[in-house]
Order: sequence, then structure tokens, then C-alpha cells
Amino acid sequence: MSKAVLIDTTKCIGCRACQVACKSWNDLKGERTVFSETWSNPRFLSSNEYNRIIFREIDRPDGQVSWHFISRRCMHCNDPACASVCPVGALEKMKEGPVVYDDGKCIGCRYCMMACPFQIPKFEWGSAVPLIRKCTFCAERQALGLAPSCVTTCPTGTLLFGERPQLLKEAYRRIGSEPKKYYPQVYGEKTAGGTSTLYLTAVSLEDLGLTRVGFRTDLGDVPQGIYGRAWMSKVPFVAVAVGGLCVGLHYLHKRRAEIKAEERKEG
Amino acid sequence: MTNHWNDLANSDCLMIIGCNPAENHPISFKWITKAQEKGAKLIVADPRFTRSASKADLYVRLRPGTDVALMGGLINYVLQNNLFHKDYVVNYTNAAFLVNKDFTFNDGLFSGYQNDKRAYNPATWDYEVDKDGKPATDPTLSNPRCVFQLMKAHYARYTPEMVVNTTGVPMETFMKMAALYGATGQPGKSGSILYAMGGTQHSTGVQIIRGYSVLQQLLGNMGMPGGGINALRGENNVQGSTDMALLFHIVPGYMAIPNEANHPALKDYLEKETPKAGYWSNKPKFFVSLLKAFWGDAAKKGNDFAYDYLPKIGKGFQGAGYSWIPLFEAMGAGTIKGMLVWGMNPAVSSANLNQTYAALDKLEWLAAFDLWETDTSVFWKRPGADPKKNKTEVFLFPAADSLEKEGSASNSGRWLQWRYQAVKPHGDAQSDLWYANRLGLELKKLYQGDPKAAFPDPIVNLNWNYGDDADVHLVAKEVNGYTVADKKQVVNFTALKDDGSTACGNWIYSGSYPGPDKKNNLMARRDKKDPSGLGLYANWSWAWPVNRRIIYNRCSADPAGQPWNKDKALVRWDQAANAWKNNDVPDFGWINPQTKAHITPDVSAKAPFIMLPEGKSRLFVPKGLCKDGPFPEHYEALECPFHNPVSKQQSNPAVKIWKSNFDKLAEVCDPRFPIIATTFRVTEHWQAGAMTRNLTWQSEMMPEMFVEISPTLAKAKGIKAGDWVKVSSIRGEVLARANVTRRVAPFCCGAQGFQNTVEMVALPWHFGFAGYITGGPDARKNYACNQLAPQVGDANTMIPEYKVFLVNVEKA
Amino acid sequence: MAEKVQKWYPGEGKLTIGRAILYVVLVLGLISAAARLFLGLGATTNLNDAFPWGLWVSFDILAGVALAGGGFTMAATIYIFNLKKFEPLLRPAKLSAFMGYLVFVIGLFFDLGQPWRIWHPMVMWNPHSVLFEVSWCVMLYTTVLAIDLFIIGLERYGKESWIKFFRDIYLVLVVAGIMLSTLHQSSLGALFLLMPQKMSDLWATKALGPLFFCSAVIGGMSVITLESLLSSKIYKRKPEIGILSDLGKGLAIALLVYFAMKVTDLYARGATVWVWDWVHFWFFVELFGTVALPALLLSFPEVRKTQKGLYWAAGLAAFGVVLNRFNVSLTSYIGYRQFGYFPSAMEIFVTAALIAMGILIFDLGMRYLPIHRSELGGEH
Ligand SMILES: Nc1nc2c(c(=O)[nH]1)N[C@H]1C(S)=C(S)[C@@H](COP(=O)(O)OP(=O)(O)OC[C@H]3O[C@@H](n4cnc5c(=O)[nH]c(N)nc54)[C@H](O)[C@@H]3O)O[C@H]1N2
Ligand SMILES: Nc1nc2c(c(=O)[nH]1)N[C@H]1C(S)=C(S)[C@@H](COP(=O)(O)OP(=O)(O)OC[C@H]3O[C@@H](n4cnc5c(=O)[nH]c(N)nc54)[C@H](O)[C@@H]3O)O[C@H]1N2
Ligand code: SF4
Ligand code: SF4
Ligand code: SF4
Ligand code: SF4
Ligand code: SF4
Ligand SMILES: [Mo]
Repeated sequence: MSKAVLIDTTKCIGCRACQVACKSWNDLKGERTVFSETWSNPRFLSSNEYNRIIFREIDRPDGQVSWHFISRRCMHCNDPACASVCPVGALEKMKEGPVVYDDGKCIGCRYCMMACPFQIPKFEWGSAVPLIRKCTFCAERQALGLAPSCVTTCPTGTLLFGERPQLLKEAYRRIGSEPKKYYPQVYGEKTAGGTSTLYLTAVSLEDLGLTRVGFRTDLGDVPQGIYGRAWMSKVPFVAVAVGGLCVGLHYLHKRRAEIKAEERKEG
Repeated sequence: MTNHWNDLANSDCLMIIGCNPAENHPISFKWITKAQEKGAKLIVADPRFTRSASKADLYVRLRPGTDVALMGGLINYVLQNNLFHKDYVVNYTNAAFLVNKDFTFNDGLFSGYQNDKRAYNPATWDYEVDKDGKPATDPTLSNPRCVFQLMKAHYARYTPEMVVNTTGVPMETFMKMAALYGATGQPGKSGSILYAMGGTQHSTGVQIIRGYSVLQQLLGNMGMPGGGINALRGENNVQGSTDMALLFHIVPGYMAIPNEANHPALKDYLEKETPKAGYWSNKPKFFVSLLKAFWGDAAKKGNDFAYDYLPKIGKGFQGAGYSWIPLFEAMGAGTIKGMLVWGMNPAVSSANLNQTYAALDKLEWLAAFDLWETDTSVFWKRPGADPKKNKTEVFLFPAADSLEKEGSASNSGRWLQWRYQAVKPHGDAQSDLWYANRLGLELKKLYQGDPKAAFPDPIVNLNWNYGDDADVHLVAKEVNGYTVADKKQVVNFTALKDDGSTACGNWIYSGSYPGPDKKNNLMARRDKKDPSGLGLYANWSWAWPVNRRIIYNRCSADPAGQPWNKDKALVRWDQAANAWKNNDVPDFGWINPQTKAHITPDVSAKAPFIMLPEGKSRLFVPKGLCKDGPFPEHYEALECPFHNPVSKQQSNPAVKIWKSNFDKLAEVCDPRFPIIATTFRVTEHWQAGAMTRNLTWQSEMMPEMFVEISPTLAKAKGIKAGDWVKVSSIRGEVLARANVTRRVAPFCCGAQGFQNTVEMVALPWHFGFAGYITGGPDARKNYACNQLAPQVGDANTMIPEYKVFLVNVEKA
Repeated sequence: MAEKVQKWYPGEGKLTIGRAILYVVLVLGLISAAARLFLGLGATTNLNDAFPWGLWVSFDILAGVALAGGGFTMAATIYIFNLKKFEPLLRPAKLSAFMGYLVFVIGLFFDLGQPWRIWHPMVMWNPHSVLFEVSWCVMLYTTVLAIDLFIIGLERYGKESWIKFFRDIYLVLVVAGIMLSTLHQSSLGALFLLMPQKMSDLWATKALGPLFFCSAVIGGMSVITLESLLSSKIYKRKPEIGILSDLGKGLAIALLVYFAMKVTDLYARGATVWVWDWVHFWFFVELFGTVALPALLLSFPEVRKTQKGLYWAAGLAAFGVVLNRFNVSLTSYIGYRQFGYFPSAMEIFVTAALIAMGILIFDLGMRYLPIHRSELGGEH
């Protein structure tokens, strides 16, 4: 029972209704911006922007231009780095799919921001009592049996919400039935150990020039949480070993000193 | 739209031309995407590579203003290669009609042109009649004087080479397009044409749309599910506002407004305006019922149902009527002294803004009803103007927005959808109905008490009983119509009478509210059942006329009543049952209302277009109904960097040219303005911008005025992406950020041997000088694109030529 | 044995120019810190979504703790490895360690978006989080250090019975201190294990934990050396060159081990080392200028046995530790991030003030606590 959203970018018309729907549902402030050469604006995700459409104008092999629109938002990793590093457990992967955040726990250390391989968590830099902000996968809507706000709003069905295994099946069905239209990969299927945000694209992420903006293709299939867990699993042993060694050595030296002292007494 | 939004999903091939629905009608892409998923092909023809184009199977980059040439080429291709739908063309169009022998066409001019008047005498643009006075026909289509042969000859000039030279579309692309769309001519296949302002905002706008529709008729796409000619309307209820005659030349229900000279009395009007054949022969019932709705008991047989109360139109300002341009010219000339701007923002949206500002400056008073303080309501504070010198008194009335009031909105698909009030109006805001009602009541009071009033009766006797706080249901019921005696709602317009016993505010809306209770309000229906699977949703809201979802639907079946495509049956004659089986409300006589006997298909096959007296759709438009010619012919825009390759006639010979000091035009191939400019909308903004430039969410996405510039032009002018540039026309200039993009490109066009490469730039027109964002950082600048656009209009509609004009571009 | 409050050093209590500057810096820092509290991080720092960690993390937290590694290093040397000759360095080491951790805690306090929730990790647990572990260790270790200083304080005021109590549990404190330090010093490096793909190859290694630990030992030893040399100058005492040059020998060994670890690690991972850009520049400075060079210097007895030589070698090594922390937490991200980062004036003021505070506290400690006297541990 893990939900996901399949983003079939080949259907996206870049209308940004989802971008606004997200702001509307989450009650996020509009930013002051200047003209963006690509039309994507604001240029970065931020605490006011959980979802933005990236515009990519690229040349096709036949020399014509093509235009692609890609929604960028939290990947809702199956084993999220953000949740694994949070010292207070403010971030948490729900079994239903969303990686949710607890406003009341967060201490604002921003380790999640450092750790997320997709550069997703953002900080309320403008506030004196700042919190972390990112796409919530509309967990509170899901709890009411509703689809995420962006999904409901999308006119073209670019955003498909459902059970993750079914969506993967559907994604491969699409690739199979229209091999010319799709790049044969579902981004997020295995990436970083699998994510609840899945992408279909017309060409590779490299060709779309997206790998520098958070669509990492160098993560392999490694679940991102294991880096921290691997370390933490060793900690108790190190602690015991170091402690034991110290006590041992101390008594060794002490015993030696006693022996020496006795020898002196005797001698 | 002859069809409707959901129906786009039924198409085999969609041609998006002269519109950009991905950006301006995003919801349409729900249905377009569905069609694509089912295998439909998508063609997008646009000078710019748009978000719609990004989804196209074939993108056709055509030079702005050359749609007729492109259509001409397609028509020629379809005719030469026999791709047209023969049975359809013979039976359902006027292809077989013989044309008056004096009708000619010569190098760009049709017969009857009067140079001095810049207008045609259309006497020769008519059918030959036989001895019974009926149009003569040749069903073999071989008579050289039949519409088909004349048309074939007319478009033989639009060879592929000519198309390529005129439109700038590469030959290979044109051939692909022709083959792809031509394939919809197969019986059973349907192709849909979607258009909007890219098609209409030209001095040849009507000819362009006619070009689209001639192609559709030839391919048998009219009346078909997934076919039709679909105008994607603009403002959310603009369909409703044209239906309700928020236009100067008609009264509600698309009946002409009476004319001083031609229609002095009701009898003249009814005689001259009522055709002998076709459904419009019922016009007297609709018109008299309308007069009864207006003046109630004061409209009596004895006084021609108060026909004299109805204002008659003269020739309008300088003979041009009272559409947008003449209104502003009249204001500029000082003949109009006050204005109600009701939900519009002409200080940004109007063409040739410097003329507009001068005109506004001359007003004695201006009352703006709007959600915001718009650029128009602060026009006297605009950059460069001195507020102290302005004498206009401005009133600002806060209007309730669409969520703050109840009522209907008609969409492009002719669906009247009832909406409820979600929240109470904020602050002092009131609904438009409230203001209109108060205005009506106050005027009545003023006229009643004023002995000096020259002609108080039309106002004093106005049937105006909606209460102090107008009840929108009362209005809706009046629009539906009722029998005068018992005030009972009529079932639909078939119950209307021309003897004064019925009243109806708009005959085409008759049937939308056929009973006294709110549950009779069919516009409020929300039934999601769709038994046909064709997306007709017969019980969702209500469509005019009589809940018909696809008009001309007789044409979806062959003369014997069998659907061209069995899987897409709107109506079907069931041979065995001797009856019609219908999924949609038939657009033809199918049942005898008295006997309830079904009428055999051969009857309706003779006249499937019931609104037209000849009963057939018009490949050739008779009688000067199109002022600039019966066949679409390519002319260049008024401002153009090319000599017309198709004929000697450079531009539309029938357009009105204005002569005020502000109405300057660049010359043909003007060296000072060597670049074509076109204007467009973006998803992120709404129109003149008051609605979106005041919203932070919208503003952050598209914060500044920009201009799309090709990389070649940018290089030639030393412009870098993001630079501020100055775009200037002979009328004005505007600053914009350079959006250097391959989505626009230069065009290589011109008559054989005289080709030339000309750059095109494109500007959004949403920015201005007032609001949360204006379009740039400088408060002393006006970022409205329409400072550039010319004040010239189409010969028929007078819509300004926003889509082609000449500019120069320089680094700011 | 305890004299009542007495003067240990000449010039005590005088407002020297040095102290005056420190106070000015402290005030500037306090103002900045107040501004940060009331206006928020965004308004006062140059941190941004691409560089959520900046100067305060790199210096106050990472470098501060590494430089405070002297405490556990000396405790281990003396109590565990039984090298009693270094005893005179122990108390200053403890004082400087406490100082370092104080800087850490205060730095962290200001760096947190929600400082008043600094206690949350104590009750809200995420045992998978390295930072969770670090916060516990640091908290516990700081407590240990505080107790230790408390004992020293007791000594000054002659509370013999209390001292006896602590003497009995002292071993527990020492072992706990060493254990906790081992854990968190290395875990601070392990913090960065989570982001291997974002960091430059030069520093992104699974061995970050051990490397951090080793460099913390180096940091500790070099700070003790520097601090001893400096305080002898300031407080006009004879420098303990003998002990210090022995410590220098140890430092050289530590540096060599560290150098070997780094080189082996780079080699094993096949990192691209020989490239010339800013990132690599800082890497070369770090590896050769602050690890290899001081190791080399200290291998010469002539250097090791002179004040000046020790200054330079220990100075370079300490700088190296700081540089390493900046490199790991900032430089290594340059290639990945879209924005740049340079600390704001306020950030610099706060960090400078923390340093000043450290020095002033150390000064106070030196003046009011029996730091350079035989101490509890020695009699134990
Ligand atoms: N988001 C948004 N939606 C809107 C509006 C809005 O302001 N914002 N406005 C509404 C209104 S009132 C209207 S009328 C509609 C208008 O809807 P559209 O007609 O779709 O709007 P435009 O962007 O003005 O023009 C469409 C396209 O026509 C192209 N074009 C220009 N010249 C030519 C030409 O000669 N031939 C052809 N084939 N194409 C040409 C332009 O490049 C442009 O991409 O949109 C409605 N929807
Ligand atoms: N260059 C160029 N110029 C163009 C065009 C183009 O394509 N290019 N397109 C033209 C077209 S198609 C059009 S339709 C015009 C549009 O031009 P306008 O109609 O002048 O522009 P809008 O911004 O749509 O104005 C609508 C106003 O109504 C207000 N409003 C919204 N809801 C309500 C309501 O419920 N009640 C009241 N009273 N007010 C309300 C809004 O705040 C807004 O100010 O512009 C034309 N101008
Ligand atoms: S994308 Fe980043 S923020 Fe989102 S769940 Fe994964 S690690 Fe966490
Ligand atoms: S900033 Fe908040 S959510 Fe992120 S890791 Fe720190 S405590 Fe957890
Ligand atoms: S799921 Fe919710 S929070 Fe996430 S992008 Fe969609 S609307 Fe925004
Ligand atoms: S709403 Fe759908 S079509 Fe529009 S931008 Fe978002 S994903 Fe794309
Ligand atoms: S803005 Fe409204 S009317 Fe226009 S496409 Fe979107 S939902 Fe439909
Ligand atoms: Mo419009």
C-alpha cells in the first residue's frame, strides 16, 4: 500500500497549473522574480515553491526545436536520506508513500538539506522561526482519500496518482507501446533505492540537461538511508571496544605500577 | 464551436491553427491528449513554436497573416488529389449550385469592386436561379459555373510552390500536412480545426476562418463527432455575451439590430430580415417575443410591440458602426463623452494605445466596474501623462468576482453552466447584475420624474421587475421565455409566437429554464452519464440550441441516414424500425411534432443546414455576407514586409483605413520597420493583466515584459538573452526583455525570384503600467505591447490586426 | 593545601590592549547574535538553500570540536597509555577542550533554525541519525568536561570531601570522555557520509570517520602545543620545551599516520588528484602544506626543540585541521552547487566573538583556577 505519482512528461503542456495548485493548497507566498530566459520561474525550489515546472528547449536530431516541461518536486524516496539523518525524526517515510515532516520537532539543523541527494528540502530563510519546507505529497489530502492537489489540477493526465507497483506497470506499458515516444527508463523506479515520484521522459535526463538541477543519475540503486545506518550500526561496537580498551589498559598499567611498587617494597 | 470541448477527444486529426490551446485553453488538452492516446494526429500551425506545438506530431511554422494561402494550398491539394468527401460535398454543400454568370475574379479582386468606397457591390455574388426562382444546380459538379468548378479554378492558383513562397512553410512540411489532414476526407474520418485569435485578429480575419471552414466542408468534417470548426472563445463567458448581444450590430439571439434606413417599421424589419426558407423563417416569433420581454404590457400589437422603442443603428461612427475601433475613434473625435468600462481594461488591451489614451483623455467621465483598480481606471496617471491636466471624472465601482455571485456562464461549446455563489462579495463589492439593476431602476426613476425628458417611454416602460436586489433566477426565466397570459415558462423556442402571446429574452437560450422551480434550471444539471461514449453528457448543464451538443449533426450520417462512422453515431435512421435512433438532439426535422411520426432521411438530406435558406453549407458565400469576397483569398496584412505573391492586390481591398493623426501605418516593406511582429498570450497571465498582474502567484511566474527574438536577429543586433530591448513601430515603442529562442525564426518568402528573409518577433500583451507588477522595474515606463499595434480592423468584424505589424528592435 | 584566592600570575586583572580587542569583538558578536535571533538566519547570514551549512558549521562546530580534541588526547595519553610526563599539559588541555565545546554549543545554538529546541534530540530520538549520535555525545562529553572543571574549581576552594567523591569515580569520567570523544569526533566526519555524490572526490570517502578522528588528535595536540607556548609568553612562565618537543614527536607521528591514511584512501578510491582548480588548490594546501610539511618540520629535532619551530609546525597542523573541516563542508561542494557562498559580516562577527570568548574564558580559567598546578589525577 504505497502510493506514488507517475509524471509522464511527454504529456505535459507546461501550463503550470500544478505549480499554482500546489501553492494554493499549501498556502505559499508568491515571490518577487525577474524574467527567466527559460520561462521557468521561480528559478529554484524554495520554502515557497514545492513544485516547479522546468522548461527545456532542446534541439531534436532532425534540427527542429522541441520543448519539454518537467515538474520538479520531492522524490519521496523509499529510503530517504532526509529522514535517515534527521536527529529528531522530524522527517519520516510513511508506509503509504509520503515523506512527511513534523513542524513541531524540527530543530532547524538543516542536515536534511545537506543530505538529500535531490536538493529538495528548503529552509524558510525569510523567517525568524524558520522551518524546513518541501512537497508533502499532500499527505493530509491522501489521508482524506483525495489525490494530491497538483494531480487533481493537472488537465492532461501528466500526473498519475496510484499504487506504486501499478504505476510502474503502466509506465512500462507506455514505453512498450510507444517505444519511439519514450526514453526507455522509469526514473525513480530504482534510483536511490526507489522513489514514490516516478518519471517518464521523451529523451534521457542528460539530454534534457536536468542532471545538474537535482535529477541525479549518479546515485545508482543505493537506498540513500543506508549510508547513515551503516555508520550508526557500528557505533555501539566502537563504544564498547574503546571503553573496554581504555579500562583494560588502565588496569594493566595500574597493575604494573603495583607490581613495581611491591617489588620495590620487597627489594 | 460547432462541436464542444469533450468532443475533441473523438477526432482522428486535430489541426490547431491560429490558437494556442495548451497555453490559453489548457483544459482543452485534457481532450486533445485523450484523442492522441487513441491515435489521433496533432498538427499545429503557428508562427511561433508554442507549448501546443511541443505536443504536435507535425509543427507547421507559417508566416503570420498567411493562413488563407495555406488553406488555399490545402484546398487545392485536396481537390487535385481527389481527397475530398465526394458524397458529402455533393449533398450537403452548395458545391453543385450555379453561380451568377457575371461573377468574376481577377487578380485579387472579385467583381463589383468600387474603388472610391473601398467596398464591393456584391450584386453578382449570387446563385443562378431556375425558372422557379430556386438556385440552379449541377449534381455532377461538372458545370464550369458551379461553385465546385469556380472554387477549383480559384484555388488552382495556390500551388504548393505558391504556398511555400507565401507562407514560408517548407515544401516538405506542407506536403506532410496536406497528406495528414487530407486523410480526414475519407468517409468516417473526422478532422477538427481549432482556432482563435491567431486566425481572427487580421485585416483578413473572416477570410481566414472561411478558409478553415471551406476545407472542413470539402473533407466532410462538419457535423461529425471529432470534427467541426471550433472557435476557442476567450473571456470565460464571452460566448454568453455574444449570445446575449454584447455587440453593436445584433440583438439577443443573433438577430440583426434594426437599421434606421432599412427598417423604419416592424413590418420592414420582419420582411427584410426573414428568409423564406430555413429555420430563420421563424424569426418573427423570436423577435416579437424579444420585444415582449423588453417592454411587457407596453408592447402591444397596436404599437408594433414597441418596436419604436428599440434603438436603430445608423451607419455608426464614420459609417463603420460601433465596434471597438470606431468607438475609440469617436471618443478621440470627441463625439462620445462618457464611458462605462465594464469588466475590461482598454488602456492595455486596445490597439494603438496612444490613440486610446488620447481618446480617454477627452472623456468627460468614465465609470469602471472592475475587481481591481486597472490601468484604465488610472489612465490619467499613466507614465508620461500629467494628472493635473486631465479633466475626466473617474468613478470606480468594485465588482464581485465570479465566485461571489450566482448565474450562468456559457462556454465555447455552447454549454450554459450554472454556478453558485461560493462566498459573499468582499467589502463593498456588488455583482454586475446588482449594478445593472440599480442603474436600470435609477434611470427609470429619473426619466419618470423629468418633464424635460425627450423620449422617456422606452425607459419608463421597460419591463424591469427583478426586485431591488435583482434575483438572477428571474432573469434566467425571462431569458428562457414564458407565455404572457399565465407567465408560465415555455418549453423551448418552438412554443414562441409572433402575436405577442409569448415573451423571450433570447430565443437560442429558450429551453434552458423551462419550469418555475429551481429544479427546472437545466443549466444546473450535473449528470455524468454518457451512454453514447462520445462525451455528449446530455444531462450535464444545457447547451444551446435545445441542448444540442453538435450542431449540423445531420451531416454525421449519409443521405440515407447511416452514420459515416458507425462507432461515432450521433443520429441514425433505423431502417427496420422506420425511426431515428439518436444520441444527440437532431439538428434537422426528424419527427412530426403533431403526429409523432418519424420523417424519412431523404427529407433532411436535402437541407441538412437548417438555418440556411438553401439548406446547404456554403463553400461560396452569396450576397455579400462576407464583405470581402465569396471565396477566401489571400491578402497581405496592412503592414507587411513582402509584396503579395498571390495577386497584385496587396491588402484586403475592403478594410476601413482610419485617418486620425494617431492612425499611422508603416509602408509596405518599410525600411524603418523591417521586422514582423505578432502578439500572443501566455498561460500565466490573463489578458490586460489586471487579473494576474495583481496576483503574486501569477506574477512570480511571468514577472516582466519580454519579446521573443530569434538567435539570428539577436546576433545581428548584438542582443544577449535577458537584455532589455526597445521594440518600436511607427505608432509607439515598448521596452522588453530579450527572450532569445529558437522557437521563433525568420521567414524566407516572396514571389518567385523576389524572395527575402525577414525576421519575426513576438510579444505578449499582458503588461502595462498599473498593479502589483507592471512588466518591468521602472515605474515611469509603460510596458504595454499595444503601444505598437495598429488600429486597423477586419473588413467584416473590425477586429484589430493585433497579429501582424511591422517593428524595429534595438538594444535598449 | 589550598590557599585562599591568590594571584598566580603577574598582570592579572589588568585591561591590556589584547583583552580590550577581545571585548570589542565579543560585543560585536553579541550584537550580531542578537540580530540573528530576532531577524532570523536568512536576514543575517549568507546561507542559502544551496549552502545550508556555512562558516558556523565549518568553524564553530567542526573545527572547534576538532581543535578541542586535546582534552581526550591528553587524558588517554596520561591515564590510558600511562605517559605521566605529559601531566602538566593535562589541565590546560581540559580547559581548552571545554572552551572548544562551549564554542560548539553556542555556535550550534545560533546556527539552529529553532535554537530553543536544542534539547529536542534528548527526547526525540532517531537512532539512525549520525547527528543524533553526535548531539548526545557532545552533550555528555561537555558534561564530563564541566564536571572535570568543576573538580578543579572545587580544588581552588578546597572542598576536600567533594573532591574525594569525584576522585573515586574519576576513572569512569575519563573512560567515558575518551569513548564519547572517539565516537563524536569520528561521527562528525561521518555526517558527510550521507552526501558522497555531492562532494568532490577529494574528500568524499567512507573513511571520513577515522580521518576526522585522526585529525582531531592532531588538532588537539597542536592546540595544546600552541596554547602552552602562548600562555607561557602571556603569563610570563618558562615554556615547557622538553615536554612539548616530546609531544611534537607524537604530533609528527600522528601527522604521518594521517598523511598515510589520506594517501592510501585517495589511491584506493582512484580519486582524480592531479587537476588544477580552486578546489584542488585548497586540497593541495591541506595535504601538503598542513599535513606533510609540519610532519617534515617536526622530524627535525632542531625544529622540535625550539619555540619558533614548534610554533610553526603546530600552527600549520592546527590550521590544517581547520582547513580540512572547511574543505569537507564547503569547498568540496563548490562543483555541485549552483550558488556561491561567502560568510556575511555578521557570521564572521559571531565566529570571531566565539573565538574571543574562548580566549577570555581560557584567560579567566588560567587566572582563577589551579590549571598549572599538580592536580587530582596526579595523586590518584
Ligand atoms: N492564459 C490565458 N488564457 C486565455 C487568455 C489569456 O489572456 N490568458 N485570453 C482568452 C481570450 S479573450 C482569447 S480571445 C483566447 C485567445 O486564444 P489564442 O488565440 O490561442 O491566443 P493568442 O496567444 O493571442 O494567439 C494564438 C496564437 O496565434 C499565433 N498567431 C499569430 N499570428 C498568426 C497567424 O497569422 N496565423 C496563425 N495560424 N497563427 C498566428 C500566435 O503565435 C499565438 O501562438 O484566449 C483566452 N484564454
Ligand atoms: N496585442 C493584442 N491585444 C489584444 C489581443 C491580442 O491578442 N493581442 N486580444 C484582444 C482580445 S481577444 C480581447 S478579448 C481583449 C481583452 O481585453 P479586456 O477585456 O480589456 O481585458 P481583460 O483583462 O480581460 O479585462 C477584463 C476585466 O474584467 C475584470 N473582471 C473580472 N471579473 C469580473 C466580474 O465579474 N465583473 C466585472 N465587472 N469585472 C470583472 C478584470 O479584473 C479585468 O480588469 O484584448 C484584446 N487585445
Ligand atoms: S527527495 Fe530528498 S527530501 Fe525527498 S524524500 Fe528523498 S531524500 Fe527526502
Ligand atoms: S532541519 Fe529539521 S527536519 Fe531537517 S534534519 Fe534538522 S531537525 Fe530534521
Ligand atoms: S503533492 Fe502536494 S505538496 Fe507535493 S507538489 Fe503536489 S500539490 Fe505540492
Ligand atoms: S498541470 Fe499537468 S500539464 Fe500542467 S504543467 Fe503541471 S504536470 Fe504539466
Ligand atoms: S482558466 Fe478556467 S476556463 Fe481557462 S482553461 Fe483553466 S479552467 Fe478552463
Ligand atoms: Mo478575446
